[in-house]
Amino acid sequence: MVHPQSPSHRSRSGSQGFTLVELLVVIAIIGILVALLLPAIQAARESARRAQCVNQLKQWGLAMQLFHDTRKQLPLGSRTAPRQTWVMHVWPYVEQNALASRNDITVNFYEPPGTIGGTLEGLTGQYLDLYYCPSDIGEDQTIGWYQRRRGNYVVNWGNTKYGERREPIGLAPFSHVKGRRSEPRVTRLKDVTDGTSNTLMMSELLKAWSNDDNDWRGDIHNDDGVFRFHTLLSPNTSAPDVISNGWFQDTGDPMMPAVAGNGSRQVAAARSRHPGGVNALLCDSSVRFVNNDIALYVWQAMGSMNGEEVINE
Amino acid sequence: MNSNVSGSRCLPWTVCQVMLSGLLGVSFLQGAGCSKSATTAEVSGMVTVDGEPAKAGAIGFFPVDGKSPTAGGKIEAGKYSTQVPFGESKVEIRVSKVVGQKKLYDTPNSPVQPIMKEVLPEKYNDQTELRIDVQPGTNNKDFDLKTK
Repeated sequence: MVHPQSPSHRSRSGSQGFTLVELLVVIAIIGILVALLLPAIQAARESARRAQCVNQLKQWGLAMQLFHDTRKQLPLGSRTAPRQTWVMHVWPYVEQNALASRNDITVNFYEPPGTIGGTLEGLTGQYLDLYYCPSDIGEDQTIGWYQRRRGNYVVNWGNTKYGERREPIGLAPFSHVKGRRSEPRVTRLKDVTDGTSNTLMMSELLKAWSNDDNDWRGDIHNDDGVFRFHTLLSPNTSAPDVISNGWFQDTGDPMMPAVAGNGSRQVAAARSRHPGGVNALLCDSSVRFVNNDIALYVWQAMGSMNGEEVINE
Repeated sequence: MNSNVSGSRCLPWTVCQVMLSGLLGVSFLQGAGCSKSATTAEVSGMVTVDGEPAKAGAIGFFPVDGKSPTAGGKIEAGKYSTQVPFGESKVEIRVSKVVGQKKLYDTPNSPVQPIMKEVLPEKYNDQTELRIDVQPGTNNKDFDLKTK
């Protein structure tokens, strides 16, 4: 049985069709075009993530302003009695009233209700979108006794190390008096005499890869953790973060260099997986993308709030 | 019919040739176009502590004039090698030593992590006296450090 259309079909494919070579060439060209296009698509996806990150930082900036409106000071960077960082104190201002109303700010972060041993049920274990930069690939602490969320957004500790006893020439919005953890310094926006648009409030860093509590990077609820960044190091620098007694795990990630230091002088750079720089929040709540090759003195001038530097970019 | 056939054969080929040459041209231009003028040079060398190669640690470079960013690298088996901006830099070196193990949490089967201690005095890191002047080209700088 012959299909009625088959003769004409055969004649068309016989005399008018494409040869194998032509088809291969066309496929090759399409392949090249796709290969050219793919990086562009990836770049567009990354730029969307960067925009999301800008938005997250902006939210933190508004939260800091709201906190300041209510309490007439910025949240304390960290304190020891009880042991806490700035994060839980800002919960009411990022629309986390449910967390804030269940919280008890008179106890250490690693005790109930902040942490409920062996589970993520504690308040510091609750997932908040606002903790995370979508470009990062780090992890939360989800095994062991002390389980909690890590975060990418950290406060500006300026031009001094964590625990350094000597005061820097220009202070940062978040600091301790003479490096003493028990004496968090109170900062008001009126203390930002370099100008709120010239002073860093927050930036981002890269969270640890491990699920244990054995890596302090991004451990934002822990006053021992890296809940802060320092402008002593350039953004995304190849110079190592210095972390007390080796509380980090070296995964070989070139974006996250670190070295063990003594407990009294720790330092961490602003880091991100955005190509070429980091997002940074200024004290006026604006967000800027800062390039990795920014001159160190400009970055350090932005790190201090009363250093009286002139920033010429 | 004949002319029609030859036409449909010719057109794709011409189109193909134009597109291919265009693509080649574009990729060539991209490759040749943007070469940034160098601002960094390779710095490498040996770090010894009391005469022994430093087992593990890191080195950091901080521009004295502040006009370039910081840089650094790992020290492995006494060797380091990294890209550093031109000019004079302060050098901070940290070498760590395993002094013990700590349990990660209070369970019998808890994994352990080494406790690392800094072995070098402050004059090589937090209060560093080390300097380097990085020149274009390759720079070799060895550091012979003493713990006392």
